[in-house]
Amino acid sequence: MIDELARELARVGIRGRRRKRILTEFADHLACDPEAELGEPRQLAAQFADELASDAARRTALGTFSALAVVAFAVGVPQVTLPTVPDIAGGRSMFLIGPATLAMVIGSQIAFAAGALAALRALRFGGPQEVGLIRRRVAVALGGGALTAIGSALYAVNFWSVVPSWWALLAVAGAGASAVPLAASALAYMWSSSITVSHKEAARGLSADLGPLARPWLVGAAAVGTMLVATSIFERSVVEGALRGSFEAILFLGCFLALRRPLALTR
Amino acid sequence: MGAAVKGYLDPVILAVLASGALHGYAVIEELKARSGGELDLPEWTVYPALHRLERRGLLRSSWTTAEGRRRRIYRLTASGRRELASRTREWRTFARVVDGVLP
Repeated sequence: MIDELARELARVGIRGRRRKRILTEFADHLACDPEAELGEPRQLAAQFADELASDAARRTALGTFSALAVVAFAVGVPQVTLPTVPDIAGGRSMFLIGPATLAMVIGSQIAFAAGALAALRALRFGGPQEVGLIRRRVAVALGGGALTAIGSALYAVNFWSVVPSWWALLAVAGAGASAVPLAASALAYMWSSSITVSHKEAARGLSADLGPLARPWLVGAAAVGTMLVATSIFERSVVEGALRGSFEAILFLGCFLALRRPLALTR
Repeated sequence: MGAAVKGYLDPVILAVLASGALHGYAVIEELKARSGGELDLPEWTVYPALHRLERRGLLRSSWTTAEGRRRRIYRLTASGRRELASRTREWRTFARVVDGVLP
């Protein structure tokens, strides 16, 4: 029984000290009562895997959300301390500034949305069948965070000769510092993803996270409206506001269609 | 009785450990003894629950040696005692309400 349990635990990804401990406890149990009915090793391993994977996924989601807050600070401080926004054509290359800006705009929004949804589902956890969804949301959030940091570094490199050197260094340092929490979360994610859960049922949709506010189009309209109004005020141009609002609408629609299924964005 | 108590497995384990540190097998035996054999849980379900309660900080565990074998001993933490008190209150209220309704 112990040998079979060892194999089953390894099969579901429980290895090392945790597996050794479980096996020692069961060996002790059988020594106390050789006739004990300890169940099927496969079922037992699945039970441990579900418990461990649920716990790890929830911790990873909350840890990732905290890591993204650090990234937001490290990347956000240079953005708000930039003395004057340089002319878009005044940098090293248009081929650099385009992808850099897109990476920052898209990456930050995806990271925030996926990270917040992962954390919400971790707090409103409904059982092991939601582990897969939390893992996908964490992976997308980490990808978005990395994209934002890379975009910020590329932005600074592009304008290196036209912005104050302290600012360029601050932006690159901020992007570099972001790598630490992102890497720590990525490691936690990889560890938690190594355990196989037995539940394959579909996770609940967006209403499990947002309740009556689970209306994607309402969230999209709020994002577009905020972009439109904020840009119109800061740039003192309704045309500029409308342009950026339209861009935000296209961006939201594209991301929603691409991520709707993997992140369970339907009600 | 085993299926009915499934949702109350955690406080039942905490209650058993409130009177002293025990290893897994002893927890199961104590559960059977206290329930007069009525609590017929599948034995293997107790171990994942012990690990879960430890990860939640409600129990802590350590290795010891008995009869030449390594053995994991579990004991209640302060958080575990608070959780047990809270779940006990919750159960008493629930039982009182249902008791008042049933004929």
